[in-house]
Amino acid sequence: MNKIILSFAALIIILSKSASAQVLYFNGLGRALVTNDDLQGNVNYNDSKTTRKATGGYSLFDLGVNVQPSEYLRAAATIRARNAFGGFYGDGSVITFRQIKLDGIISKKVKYEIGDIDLQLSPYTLFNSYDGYYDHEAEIFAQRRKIVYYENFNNGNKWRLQGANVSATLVFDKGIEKIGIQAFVTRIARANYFNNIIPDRLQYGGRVDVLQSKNFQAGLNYIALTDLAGTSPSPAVVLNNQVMTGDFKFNFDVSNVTFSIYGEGGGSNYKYTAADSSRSKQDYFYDAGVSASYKPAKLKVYASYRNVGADFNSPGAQTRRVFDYGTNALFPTYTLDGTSTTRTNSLLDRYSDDGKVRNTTIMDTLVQYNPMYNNITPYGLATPNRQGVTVGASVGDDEKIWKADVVMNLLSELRPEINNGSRNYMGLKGGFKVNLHKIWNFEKAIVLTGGANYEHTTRTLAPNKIDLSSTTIDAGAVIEVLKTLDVLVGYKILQAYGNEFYSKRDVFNVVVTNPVSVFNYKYTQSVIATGLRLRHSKNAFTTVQYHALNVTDAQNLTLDKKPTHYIINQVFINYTLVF
Amino acid sequence: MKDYYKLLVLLCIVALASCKRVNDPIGPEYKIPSSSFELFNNSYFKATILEPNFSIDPSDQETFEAEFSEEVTWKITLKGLKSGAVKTYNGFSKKLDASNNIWTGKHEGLYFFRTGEKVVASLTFLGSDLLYTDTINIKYARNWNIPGKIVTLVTLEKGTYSPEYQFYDGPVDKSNNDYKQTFPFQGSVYSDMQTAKNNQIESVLRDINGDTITTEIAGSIEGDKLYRMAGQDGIYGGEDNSDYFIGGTGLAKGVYAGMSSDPSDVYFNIYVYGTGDLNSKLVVNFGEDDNLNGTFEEGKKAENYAIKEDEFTFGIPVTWIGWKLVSVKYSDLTLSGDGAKAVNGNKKLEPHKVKKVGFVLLSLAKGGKASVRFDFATFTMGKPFNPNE
Repeated sequence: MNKIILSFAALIIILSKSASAQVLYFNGLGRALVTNDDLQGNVNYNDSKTTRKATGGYSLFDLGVNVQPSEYLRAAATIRARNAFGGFYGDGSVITFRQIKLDGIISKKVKYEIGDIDLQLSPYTLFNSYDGYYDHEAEIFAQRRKIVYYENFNNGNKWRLQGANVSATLVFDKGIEKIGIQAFVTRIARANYFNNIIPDRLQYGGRVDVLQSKNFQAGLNYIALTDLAGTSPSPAVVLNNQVMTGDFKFNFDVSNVTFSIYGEGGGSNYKYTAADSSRSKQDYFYDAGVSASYKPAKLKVYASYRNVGADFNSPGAQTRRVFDYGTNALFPTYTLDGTSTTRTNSLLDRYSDDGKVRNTTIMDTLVQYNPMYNNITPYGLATPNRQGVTVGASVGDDEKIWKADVVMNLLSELRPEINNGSRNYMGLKGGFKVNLHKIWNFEKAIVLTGGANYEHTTRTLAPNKIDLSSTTIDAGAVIEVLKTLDVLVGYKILQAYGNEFYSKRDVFNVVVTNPVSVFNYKYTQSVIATGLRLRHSKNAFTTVQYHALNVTDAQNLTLDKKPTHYIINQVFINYTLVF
Repeated sequence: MKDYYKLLVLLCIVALASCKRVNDPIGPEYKIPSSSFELFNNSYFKATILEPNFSIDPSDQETFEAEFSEEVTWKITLKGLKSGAVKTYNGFSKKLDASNNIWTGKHEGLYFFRTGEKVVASLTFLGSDLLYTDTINIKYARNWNIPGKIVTLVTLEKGTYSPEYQFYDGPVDKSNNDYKQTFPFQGSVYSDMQTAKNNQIESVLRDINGDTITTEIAGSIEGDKLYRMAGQDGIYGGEDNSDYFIGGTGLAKGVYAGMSSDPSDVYFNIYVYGTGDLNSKLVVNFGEDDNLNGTFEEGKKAENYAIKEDEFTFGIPVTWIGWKLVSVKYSDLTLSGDGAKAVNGNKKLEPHKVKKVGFVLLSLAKGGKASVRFDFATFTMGKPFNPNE
């Protein structure tokens, strides 16, 4: 660690000395965070070993150093100093490099990035999908989710990867407006010499998109995931997965209405060789839709149909950002009637835990998920084995008075999991944001948000019927009581009832055994939260919040036949400065 | 021009939409039991052998039998009451017999079933609370030696180093167990890391401070005992050499029959337990009998420990916490020798000539404390050790 500190200090000094010959600037983030937690309920009864209270937190400082010797070259590094709450230098203090990147322009035409880069292609090739519906989440929850996203480099739908990316745009005088070309190569797994399983794994690809005019554009996407044979002691573990897709969009205006026809289609080619066996499969998908936008009202309606094959394999688009069965940082286990039990990932964990329940690595298999959170598209738009219709509408502008949207999915499995019928999925989600102060002409802001997500999964043929419904509702408000002081309130509830089966997949991503999990949900959890936010400036605030999670699981009964029930009361204090 | 684009896109959509896919189920059949489900013959669920012997060749083949009133998805879970070892069988059928469950003493996960251990077999059904159990006793645990495939290090002889040298950097205090070296350096034959001589093999784990670890995961992987090496670099024996070396032990000679001569075909496998102390490094050396005189000839002190034949090596920092199976391909080994001792064999990787395997504990920091535990070392041919196969 001392070497890092000395190296970084030397770097700063050298850069400062030479700052007159080049542009040197800093950016970053500072954050102090403290939580105090209290677990109550009929868990940990007569258990003196498992904790009921926890205090945690840290302060950290991310200093981004950007050096720009010329307008064509920039080097940027972010160093992180993190001190655990209650720690001191040498005990709890950690200094690490958070990210390093070189970028620039060659010959005023080709942009390049090397190092830690954020990449995204289409929803079926390279896309970091959200794990749920958070479009109109209460600010008091969204604020904490932003911390989780920041810590895990969840920058929109981009994946944080390590490698190189180049792009260029060719502009034409006639016939075609411009052609964009992008190519990248990243290493997503480093060979682990001693586990014999994982060789160096590269992900590379690119996109060519043609903008013919404002009326037509089309693109070609390619992405591959390849193991480098020979970088692992075990010689016969090699994955080679390729996905190629094409996308297009036609636009045409009729009066104030813009009509669009859009779509994407393509296929995957998968080959995986393990020690004793190998597997290859090919499949395809297509997704096409129409939309109409009425500009004066900012109204948009759309409908699409998609068909994604059961063997369509696109790790860059199907990898989940959340491990539903990861280890919670907060009260990971509790005892129930003397038996240690893993605490299921809750709503509170999903917006506040930035640790082991989050995934930042592209994975070659479909990771198990908890159906009560997202059973329709657990792997994003590219979820395999789905066909059906999506219709939706949105209206308004959240920067003005109000905005609302609604989406309905009517999907089904393309291929049944077993012989007695396919699952059918119905999903309805929507939400709104209303700036009440603009309606009432108040000087101080009053903002209301609300959202709901309902999912219903069925399989009707006996004996393995499925009937699972889950509903999530979110409501919140931000009330500006003083010029720089806001009151934040929020409420979330999730209810899941019914049954579902979950089948295990092997290393080849194939369902190979009987279901590892049978769910019989009688589950309710809710979070109520309230707090204050003091805005020091546009980029700095302090907030003090109280969150109360209340979970009732009637599937898992105690010995006296009562539902498992626990409450987590949490006090959360946070100071954040972005510069 | 625009029409060409439209035509191309439409053709693509039509082509994709017209592709035929198979419509078979994507997974194996499963079914939960109905309300009238029952086990026939008075809920009969029994093992065919009460005390199976898995050490003989061919091994006993344990089978659990039951008959159901209907086809259901079932699961048999075998759990060793002492080792915690687990083996499971899943199926979809109307009865249990040798066609869907044959157990030869293998396990899943880390822990091996043990000789003399009671094993509880639990029969459960998908989506049901029904539970049936039976208990058996393992007469002898599985013999993992499979000619041409797996060679276990079943015979351990005394270390080739002299006791004095071995303890050169050894314990802080011979009378204190905290940092005693617990591997065997005396005695003649040790069987499979299990038979303690001179109380030098511990049957329980200790952490870096010498405290006993009592959690289940701290138990040995296979059998009742494991090897533990622990010590502090350079402060014992009156000399402060601070050379990272703490201690080591040599295992066996002439026991590696059946080894392939192709170094890319041979793997060395060992279970290693780490405490996460970030200061311990395990080095494994492989001495080859290049002159085929039946022994691996090491150097003597008077000869500056120059090795007369080939010794190959690998080292691994034991930074993790808990047990881990480490497998290394023989062709990835490098020649031993740190400058102080030369290696004077034919410098060819010849696994079939291995006559000695040595384990060395190093501290990654001069003067640092380090410890490592290991268990069940094997050579495997063709692929790394996999207890499930």
